[in-house]
Amino acid sequence: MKNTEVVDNLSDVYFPFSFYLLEDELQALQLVVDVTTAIMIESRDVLGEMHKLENRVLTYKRLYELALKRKLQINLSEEEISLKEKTAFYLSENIGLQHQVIALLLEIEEIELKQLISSARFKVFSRERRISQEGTRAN
Amino acid sequence: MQTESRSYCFHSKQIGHHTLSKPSKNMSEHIESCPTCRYKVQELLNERNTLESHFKKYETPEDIRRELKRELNEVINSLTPKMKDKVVKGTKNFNAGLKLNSFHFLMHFIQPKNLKILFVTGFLFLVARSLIDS
Repeated sequence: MKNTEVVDNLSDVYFPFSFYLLEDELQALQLVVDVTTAIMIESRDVLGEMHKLENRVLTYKRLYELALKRKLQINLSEEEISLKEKTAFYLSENIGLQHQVIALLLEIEEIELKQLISSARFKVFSRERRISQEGTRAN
Repeated sequence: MQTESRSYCFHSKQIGHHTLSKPSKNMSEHIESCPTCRYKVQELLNERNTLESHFKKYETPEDIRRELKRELNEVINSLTPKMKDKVVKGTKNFNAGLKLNSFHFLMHFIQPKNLKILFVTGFLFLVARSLIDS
């Protein structure tokens, strides 16, 4: 994979995931840059071979782990949906990764993953409903 | 498939996201004629649209994309060795290897046994030459 393709891939696929986790554009940008640097130092092949599932999973895992640390460091306010729930829900519903793979990434059992996805789904829909009701009231 | 009343339909319990992605002919015919199932499918479609718009909110904004690309290019270029550096490093390694191997070759070559063979060969060559000349 050429450098431009790697950069496009990171901006279009991995930034939205980071943004979803941190809900802050600048924090998400920094997260992607830091994880890219760490991965490049470890092994240059990972970013060049993103078609391999193991490399994609590794990148998501690094983003999730660093997002967890960042959240503690910068004291972002605790939201109703936890990072674990967000990761599980995003990777399952938006990326379409298999449950087995996500469970491995989050180091949990599949049954726990299903509970996380279900709880995240409920919270996401409640939030969306609330937002739409507030929008209707404002109009 | 039998059409049932709107208040309750057994088939509506079988309808899920899989029905939307891989609709079977029998099920499609039933859904068209059953208000309960039609309502369930409509709910699923609404849910899918909500999710799509939910994830769409997190797509990369254009200004962030530009900034991110600039920063990522910087990181990747600084950590990727350039071709010129690779050639210089390769030449250095080759020269160092050549020196080391030449030294080892000479160290192994300068041994009493090899010197004896060299001396005998030289002597025989000189004798042969003098014989030819005479």
